[in-house]
Amino acid sequence: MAYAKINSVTNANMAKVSNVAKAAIGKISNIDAPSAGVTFADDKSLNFDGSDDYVAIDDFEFTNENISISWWCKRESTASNQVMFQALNDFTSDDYYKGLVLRTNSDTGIKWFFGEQSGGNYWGTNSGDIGFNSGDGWHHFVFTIGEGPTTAYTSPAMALYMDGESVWSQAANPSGSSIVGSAVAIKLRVGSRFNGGTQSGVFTGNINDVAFFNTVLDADAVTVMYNSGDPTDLRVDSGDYDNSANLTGYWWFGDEDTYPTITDRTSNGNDGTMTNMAEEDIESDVP
Amino acid sequence: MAYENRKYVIIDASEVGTVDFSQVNETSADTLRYSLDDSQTFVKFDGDTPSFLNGKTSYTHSEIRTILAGEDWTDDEIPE
Repeated sequence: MAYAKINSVTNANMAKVSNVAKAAIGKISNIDAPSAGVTFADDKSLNFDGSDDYVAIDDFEFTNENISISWWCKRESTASNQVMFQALNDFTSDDYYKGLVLRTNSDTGIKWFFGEQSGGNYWGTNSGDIGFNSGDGWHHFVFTIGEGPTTAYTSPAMALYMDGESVWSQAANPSGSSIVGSAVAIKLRVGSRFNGGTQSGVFTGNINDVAFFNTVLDADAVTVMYNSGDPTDLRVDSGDYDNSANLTGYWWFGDEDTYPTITDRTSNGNDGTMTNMAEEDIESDVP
Repeated sequence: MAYENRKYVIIDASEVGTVDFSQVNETSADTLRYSLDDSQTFVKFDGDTPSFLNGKTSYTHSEIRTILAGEDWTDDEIPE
């Protein structure tokens, strides 16, 4: 019956349709296209088994101020204290909070620590329940840290985005000037926690496309990076994402990597090493 | 997941010298994870059991996760 109706359209009706189409095209041309990131062949991620896996990126050094971290993550354990990122000056001796820790918090959120290299002060807080649950697939996160050691994290202090939306922020460090984070260079490891050289807090799940920036990303850029759940090539500016020049480290975590090396996709050359991991831990499991 | 068929074997720290790291997933003696009292460590492998681990108890991924979550292997955080 539908075919019969279509076939019965007269030339007069076709003319009307043609006019409507022309008018619509005119309106469409005045609408800004939504900003979208530039996608790429993202086919691999790294799986961490929760025992002793980690990626050491010990040549990548940074300080806890004016930075942003972007990553994709999938939890496979409800356990709290599963560390996604840790940065310390010395992984053989530093207390675990003397630098940066980003880990799971209970079954629903993210917790982080910042500490001083000397003095033993630290600042730990968490996002609360943001729906970061085990078994519900991939999520994209961006964590931003504002002015750092010399200004005690003010304006802004920190923000956490999940799947393109702001889920937590704090305008200033509530602990005041006594907690100022790491003013010296700290080095990055992904997937484990080290405390005085002792390893624990190993992540169970997959991590993909880790990026560090030397600036605080804004919400519009984060929306483009999330790209409705399809990872983008952060080396390419697109729409409201204009921060490719701010990339200080970028690792695809599997794609075009040759085990055990995780190649830095910036020109900085700070490659990572899959440690206590097998080639099979590079999996075809992506957002 | 790659670890679904993986096996894990706990060994004494004194046995680390017997480990053939070409047959396990651990990178080297320097990257082993130790118990909090440093008396034990473990190695993991996919496929057949390496000969140097014959006769030792092997654990599944689920079993080793339970062991590693215990107080002998995982330390407490400082409070917020």
